[in-house]
Order: sequence, then structure tokens, then C-alpha cells
Amino acid sequence: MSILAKLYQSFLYQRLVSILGAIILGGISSWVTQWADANFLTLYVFLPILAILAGIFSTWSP
Amino acid sequence: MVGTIRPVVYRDRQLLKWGIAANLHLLGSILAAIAIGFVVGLLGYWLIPYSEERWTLLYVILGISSIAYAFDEMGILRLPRPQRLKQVPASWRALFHPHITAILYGFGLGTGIATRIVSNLLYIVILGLFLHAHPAYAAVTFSLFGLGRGGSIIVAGWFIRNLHSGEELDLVLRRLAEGQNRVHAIAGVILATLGGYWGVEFYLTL
Repeated sequence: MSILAKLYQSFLYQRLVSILGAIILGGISSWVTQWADANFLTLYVFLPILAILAGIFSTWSP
Repeated sequence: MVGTIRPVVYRDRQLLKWGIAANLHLLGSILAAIAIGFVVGLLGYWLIPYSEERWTLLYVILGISSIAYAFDEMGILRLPRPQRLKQVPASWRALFHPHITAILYGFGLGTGIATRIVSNLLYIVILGLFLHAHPAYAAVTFSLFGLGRGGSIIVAGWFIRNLHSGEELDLVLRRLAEGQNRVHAIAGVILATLGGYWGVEFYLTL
């Protein structure tokens, strides 16, 4: 197996690709939705969703 | 955590008593979250001077923090995660009436920062509420954390209501714990996406 194939299969690589992909996706979303009010989205969509998800994810604490 | 809560929210296997305890738990959780949100917003109001640059500051700090905590969530970086490593004390069950215990557990868990924190989403929410510096908005928004936390315990408690032994409960809790990696991965992707969004917004405000 080539080094590239091993790298692709490594967990670290997959996580890095996921994060970088998500950052790019978020950036593109911001760029293409300039018609939307980012302040409004941040205050009334993103932060409330993050808050409720943070609460739900707490169920997984030991 | 579900293991600690479950005997309280479903004591004696009676639906009405379970319903009362569960709702008290949810109420406690939401009230504590409102209080914490208000304090965070108030601190921001006192400490951050009002200026036109506020949104720029909010976007740059939230963007950088979200991306950094996404790396932490994925286990690539290790960042400070202020939290208390204990959950609510199990001894309260013996000390208080089950309804009092349920509401106290709700208060304890609804604060968020005074207990163990599973995902970094909470830090970004607190940071956002602090930077926006509006106590009423912060109280209302953070109440959703209490709703999510208290509500999810109720949902989990409902699904494990018919377990007959400690072994069965242990098995369910072990399965729940095994899902933690997935939770971290989802939270990491969400934070990275928002980090990218806020990063570009910061660039656009320059």
C-alpha cells in the first residue's frame, strides 16, 4: 500500500479533511448568502441552535 | 449522567410521579440556564465598551475560537476546557425529597459550566453571548441550553423507564458512552463550518 493510501486511511487525515472541508463549506456559504443578514443569522439562528445542541450533547457525559 | 438522574425522574415506576419529577428537572435546568445566560450577558455589557466595531470583534473572535475548538473536538489540538469534572452529587437523592432532588439536579446541570462539559459548542455559545453583551438576549438564548439538557435527560429517561436491573441500565449507558466519538465528530464539523462562515463575515466587514 502506498504512503498516500495509508495516509488517506489514517484517522487523523480523515479528521483533518473533515475540518478543512467544513471550514471551506462555511466560508462559501457566507460568501454566497451575502443577501442574508449575517448578524441576524448569528444571533437568532446559529447561537440558539448551538445552545440547544450543546444541551442535547451533554446527555453523552459519563 | 442519565444513570444518576434516572432513579429520580422515574422513581417507583409510576408515570405521574415520573412526569412531575421530569418537569421539575426541566424547569430547574431552564431557570439555571437563564440565570447563567443573564450573568454572561451582563458581564459582556459591563466589560465590552459599545462601539461600531463590535460585530467585527464578534466575528473574528467567534471565527478563530470555533475553528480552534473544532480541532480540539476532533482530538487534533488540546485547548483549555474550563469545566468541573463532577456531575451533580448522587448523595442528594438520599438527602432530599425526590421532587426537590429533581429540581436541584436540573439547577446543577442547567448551569453548564459548573458540570462536566461534553462538547465545545457550549464555549462558543458563552463566548458569543458575552461578546454580544445583551443580558436579556443572553438569558433567552442560554435557556435553550437548559431546555436541550433537561429535555434530553427526560427523553433518555423515558426510553430506559422499563429496565428491570442495574445490568440492563449499565448496558444502555455503555452504548451511550460509545456514541461519544460520533458526538465529538458532529460538533467538530459544526464548529468548523461556523468558523468558516464567521471568518468570511469578518473579512467582509473589513
